[in-house]
Amino acid sequence: MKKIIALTIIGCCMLLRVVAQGDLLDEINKEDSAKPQRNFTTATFKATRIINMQSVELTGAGNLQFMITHHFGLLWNKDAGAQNLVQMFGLNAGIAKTYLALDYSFNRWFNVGLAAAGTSNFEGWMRFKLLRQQTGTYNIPVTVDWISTANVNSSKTATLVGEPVWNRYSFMHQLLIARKFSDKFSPVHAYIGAQ
Amino acid sequence: MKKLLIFATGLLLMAISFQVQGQTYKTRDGYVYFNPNKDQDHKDYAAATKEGTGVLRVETAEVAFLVQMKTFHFNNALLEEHFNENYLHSDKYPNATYKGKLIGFTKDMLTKDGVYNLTSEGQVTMHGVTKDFKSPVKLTVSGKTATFECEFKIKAEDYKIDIPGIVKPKLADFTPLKANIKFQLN
Repeated sequence: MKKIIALTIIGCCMLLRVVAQGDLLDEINKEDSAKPQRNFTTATFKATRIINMQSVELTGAGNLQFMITHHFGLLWNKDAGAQNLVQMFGLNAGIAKTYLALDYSFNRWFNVGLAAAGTSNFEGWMRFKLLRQQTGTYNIPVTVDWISTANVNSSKTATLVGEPVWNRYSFMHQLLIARKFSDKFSPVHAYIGAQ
Repeated sequence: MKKLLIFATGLLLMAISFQVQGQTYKTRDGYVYFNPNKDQDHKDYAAATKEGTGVLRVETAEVAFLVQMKTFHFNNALLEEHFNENYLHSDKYPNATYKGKLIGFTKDMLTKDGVYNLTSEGQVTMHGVTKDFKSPVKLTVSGKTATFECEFKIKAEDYKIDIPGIVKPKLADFTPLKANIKFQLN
């Protein structure tokens, strides 16, 4: 009986030893996940713009981005009929606007931009990254950006001539909330206020 | 009394078995640097991490090392994004790991200052691919620190890392890496 108990204890000890040895990879995974973690979600969008709207991405800190965007004519002008085909669905409609933009990020959360917005319009913006989607120490499910844009219309159109100068300005404030669900799906919700 | 004796023996055996398990050293600030440029004087594609996790089992001369891919930082934010999104797919394969043995290592080396030349042999897992690995390692023991230094080369194709044709001519076929893993002894 005593022998059995003794053997059981020895057996337990050996078992313990085996358990204690374990796999080194498990041990290192455990050690690594014990570190304070801040897993930031990266590349919610691949660019700073989604078609002609802002995305929640900023250029990298210290990076200057020059971007050329074209706004073409109507995909289908109902008065033009078959002419739409030769105009290649608005591409050659003769009313393309060219938007030239420069934007620069001072750091991870502050970005400024200047743009020639076409037809004598110029604009500038400031963008703040308020929240970054992340897991770990802090669990934040969304990325939130605040963007304020000021636009000035410098054209000599009849409606503006003689008007007070402040009527040439327009302002837009946007609060963008985005979440990267997977590497193929990131929706963004925008609250836009303009005047 | 006899029961007590058995119990005491049991405890002793447990203690011994833990003794055999031996000393384990850990570090959380392992350094890894790589420069994939064909011309090593150019460092525009180079990246480094200072957040590798390492474990060293003295008794069995086993080592393991883990690096989170997203802890590699490049000079250019766009390069870093491409590295994680398009090359290493860091969301799917967040870590690179190494598990292996230190050949020629004895625990006495940690108690005496000096420089020792060893070899490490094991497996590297990265981007979902596991490959055998063997490389010389330099161990420098100085007081209460043991530093393992290792320089080696890997081939991106071996780990199924696709490099677009437009970038390829600028990169070396074999990417040189440097690792510097420091353990605090006690």
